[in-house]
Amino acid sequence: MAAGSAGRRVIIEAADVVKTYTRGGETVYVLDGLDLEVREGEWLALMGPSGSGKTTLLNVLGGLDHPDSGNVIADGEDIEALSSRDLAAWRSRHVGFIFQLYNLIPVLTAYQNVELPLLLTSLDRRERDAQVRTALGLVGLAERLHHYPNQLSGGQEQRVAIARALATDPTFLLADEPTGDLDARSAASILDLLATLNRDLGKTIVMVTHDPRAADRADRLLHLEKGVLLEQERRGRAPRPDGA
Amino acid sequence: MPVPLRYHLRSLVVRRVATALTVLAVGFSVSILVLVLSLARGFEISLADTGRTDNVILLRKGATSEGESGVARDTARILLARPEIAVGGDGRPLATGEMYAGISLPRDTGGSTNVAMRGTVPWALELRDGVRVVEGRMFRSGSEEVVVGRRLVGRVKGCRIGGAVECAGRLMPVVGIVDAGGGAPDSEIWGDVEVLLQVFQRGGFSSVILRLQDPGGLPALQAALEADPRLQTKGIAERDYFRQQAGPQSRFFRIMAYFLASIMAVGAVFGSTNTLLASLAGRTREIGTLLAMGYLPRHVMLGFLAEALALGLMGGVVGVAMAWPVNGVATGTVNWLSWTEQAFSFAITGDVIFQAVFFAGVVGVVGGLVPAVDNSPPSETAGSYPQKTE
Amino acid sequence: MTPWMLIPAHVRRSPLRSFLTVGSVAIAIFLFCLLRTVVTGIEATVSKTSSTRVITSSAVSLFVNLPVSMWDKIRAVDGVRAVTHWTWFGGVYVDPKEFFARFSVDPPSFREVYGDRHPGGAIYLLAEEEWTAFERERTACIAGADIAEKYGWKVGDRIPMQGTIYPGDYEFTLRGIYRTSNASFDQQTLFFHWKYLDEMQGGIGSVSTFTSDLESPELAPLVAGSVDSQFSSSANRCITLTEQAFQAQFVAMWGNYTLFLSFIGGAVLVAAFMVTLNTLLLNARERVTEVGVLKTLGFPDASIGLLNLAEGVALCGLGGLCGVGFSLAVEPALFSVLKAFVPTFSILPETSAAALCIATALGLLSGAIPGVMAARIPVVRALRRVG
Repeated sequence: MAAGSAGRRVIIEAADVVKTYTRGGETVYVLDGLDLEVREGEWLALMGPSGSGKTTLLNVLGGLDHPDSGNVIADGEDIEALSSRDLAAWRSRHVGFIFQLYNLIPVLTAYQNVELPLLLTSLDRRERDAQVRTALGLVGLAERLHHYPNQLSGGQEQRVAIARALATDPTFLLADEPTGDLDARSAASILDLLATLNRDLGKTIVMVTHDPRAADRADRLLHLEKGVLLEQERRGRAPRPDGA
Repeated sequence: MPVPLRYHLRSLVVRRVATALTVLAVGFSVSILVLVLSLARGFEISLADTGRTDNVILLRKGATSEGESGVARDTARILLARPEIAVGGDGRPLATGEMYAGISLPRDTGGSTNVAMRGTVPWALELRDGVRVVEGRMFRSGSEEVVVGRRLVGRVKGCRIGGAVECAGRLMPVVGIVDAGGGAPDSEIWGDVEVLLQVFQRGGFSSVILRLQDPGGLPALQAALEADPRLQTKGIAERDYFRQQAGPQSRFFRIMAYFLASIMAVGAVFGSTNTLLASLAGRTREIGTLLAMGYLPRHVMLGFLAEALALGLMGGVVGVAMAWPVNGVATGTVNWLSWTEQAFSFAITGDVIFQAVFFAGVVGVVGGLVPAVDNSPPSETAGSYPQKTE
Repeated sequence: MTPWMLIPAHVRRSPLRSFLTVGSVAIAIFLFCLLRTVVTGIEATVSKTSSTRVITSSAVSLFVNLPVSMWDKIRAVDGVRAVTHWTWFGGVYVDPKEFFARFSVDPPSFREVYGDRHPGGAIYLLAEEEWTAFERERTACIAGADIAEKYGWKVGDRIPMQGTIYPGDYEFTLRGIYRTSNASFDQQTLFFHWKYLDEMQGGIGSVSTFTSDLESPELAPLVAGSVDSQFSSSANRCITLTEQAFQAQFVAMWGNYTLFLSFIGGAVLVAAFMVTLNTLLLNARERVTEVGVLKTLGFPDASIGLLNLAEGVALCGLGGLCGVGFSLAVEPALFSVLKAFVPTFSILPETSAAALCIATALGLLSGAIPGVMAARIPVVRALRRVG
């Protein structure tokens, strides 16, 4: 599968990304000259110990956080050059986020949660309705349109969150431990869903995870350690000395 | 297992913005209560504590105030010869006819007001022994000199030593300032009764005041007056008279205070309930921890009430503190019964503070009732974000 | 671009808290309307007075009477169309606590200045036969609709009254119940014949005030000067003021109250502001993650700030509407309570409008702070605030 995507165009390209925090007067390098390429249609898994900067990397790729230096080119656009307003608009078009804790808006129904990102598009009410129903149908929740998040199970909540991420048909999905808060069965079914999206709809997915079973499902696995990425030795290849 | 008081009080500190805003909201309500109550109290003090119980004011039957009353000279002569009258130091009977009128005088701040003018005798201070001359001297018999109550100084034009008040076209020189310790004479102008009767072209007195020989002799005097149909006069203890003069208005002030305060209390209760509900919504995990540690639900509930009470009491203290600057500030109103200016000061007395703090405490506890009873995670939290750790 | 549906969604999901917030604004606005209406009611006694009437009273004070002999002399002044006089009676009806104003007047001239014979229309509204009955009978009286209702008086009833300033036992026969056409005049006064009073007292020969009705308003200074100078040297020095200036004296006595009431009104609104600000801040605190999610989805900072602002305006505006609505609903009931203290109590459209503006301003102010905070918080920090 990895070989299958190798020839496609690069959709995200991060080069020499540095991100630091100051903690107690000391500068901590969370990302230390990190390089990364993600190709269209690829499902990439990122693993790494707690605090290794996985979430920071996702935030940088998704245009939520700015690196201290380095470039992120996504779909041909240098997102570091965008103003925060343009960046917000860029996110709404290109990125779908999936969080560990789903982050649904509790006061809105499943339907309304999925409709939320569509309000940022030029779609009219009827078109939005069609999109919402399609997205919720895709995640298997066509029967739960008007349930509130607290009336859904964790797995169902995560499905709504995935539907929300899909609704605008973004260029790529960023998933931060999407199965981290779920029991094994729900987790497996969420992974099945992601696999379907990746395989059948060609969705590009960058997924951070702790769970080796989740990582196993991805095309490619990278390890984040000490601020740089190391290729996993899973398929017997030698780690690539990226970002040295 | 005791109530986890420290935890609750601590949480007020942790959520200090919410606490401060709630305390301020309660505080503003309390300060209004304090303001109006101290107004009522100041007004009452300016009248209710005036006069002696063994001084008797004689008014015409049917009259409710000296301004309405009239006592003809013939009647006065009979009254002043009553055997019940006490005798003063130099053998003089302690009784006199007096004249009372409101006169229109310009205020220092512009506009005009009605000031009570009392015609009396130069030795009136012997009769009203709560009143002292604090500056200058008493008016002289037969002169147009007047003395003014200390509260008129700075409020009414000409009311100072060396000034003069205009009355019926005459300028009457002010020769003294009297202090009645907060009583009614503080807002009055006193002059010689015979001179004033002429100035006002009146044939008779307004009232007669006398000191009883026997402090308990009022009922006997009243009976004697009743028995003489020529007199058409009634007697009332001086202290009761002034208390009556304050009555309707101070009742009005108190009603106003409690009316405003109770409506504001509802608002304040709404506010503090809201704060506690919101803070509960963010604390379900903390409460869960308390319960897991073995605290019983009712302990947590009591703790919430204590927290609410503390909020209320802090509001009470803040409210009293916010209102405090008005304490002693001079103001004036028109007395509804005499239609004359009654100057007085806001008085934040102990009982006012007690009422205010009590009120604040009640607001606090009532505000805490709903959140406390509802301390199992309230419905509001059902919709909030999952309270889970990463 | 703004997810408006979040506002009703939040309101629906915390009905109790929404109710409490709306309620506290409603209460503040209700109090504001109430206090403001008391003030405007007092002010109305001045502002709606006629400009063709001037009032002459003793220069010494209102408690000093003028001789009735001045009547003819004032009538003779150029520019005066008609003159009538009022005399304060005081008196006790049943109990000293039952207080309302009682004046003795001269009915024929009273009718010309204040009644149906006035060319500019009547202040005191009575049927013609009621006026005639009032004029004809020496012990007749007329009473305002508010006190007639309070005491259950009907035309023909006998009303006993004990004199205080003018001793004696009086008995009046009610011959008319009037309403007034003008807010400056209350409906709580009893009028009876001055002649009856004069007779009971064996000739008092004096009155409290004279009211002169002028041919045109511009004549007021001229007439006032002419009347006052005529008596300036006599013992009965008088002062002539326009009806407005005369009433203003009474309002000046209330001066302290109006300032005081305005001050209280201000404090009420500040307290309400604290409550709404606190509520919105607490709400914002709970919704930090929501802000993070909205920003992640690509909603611009400005929309998110606007959302907070709009929520404040919605809650406070709703509170304002409830407050004004409630005030209007209980207006008659409040008037019956406040009758003894204020001449009129009607909530002016200006007061309602001001109340709604204030409510909106409260919303803007208390929504702005959390709004700016929400707009400014970096998305990463907002998302970190989970759990």
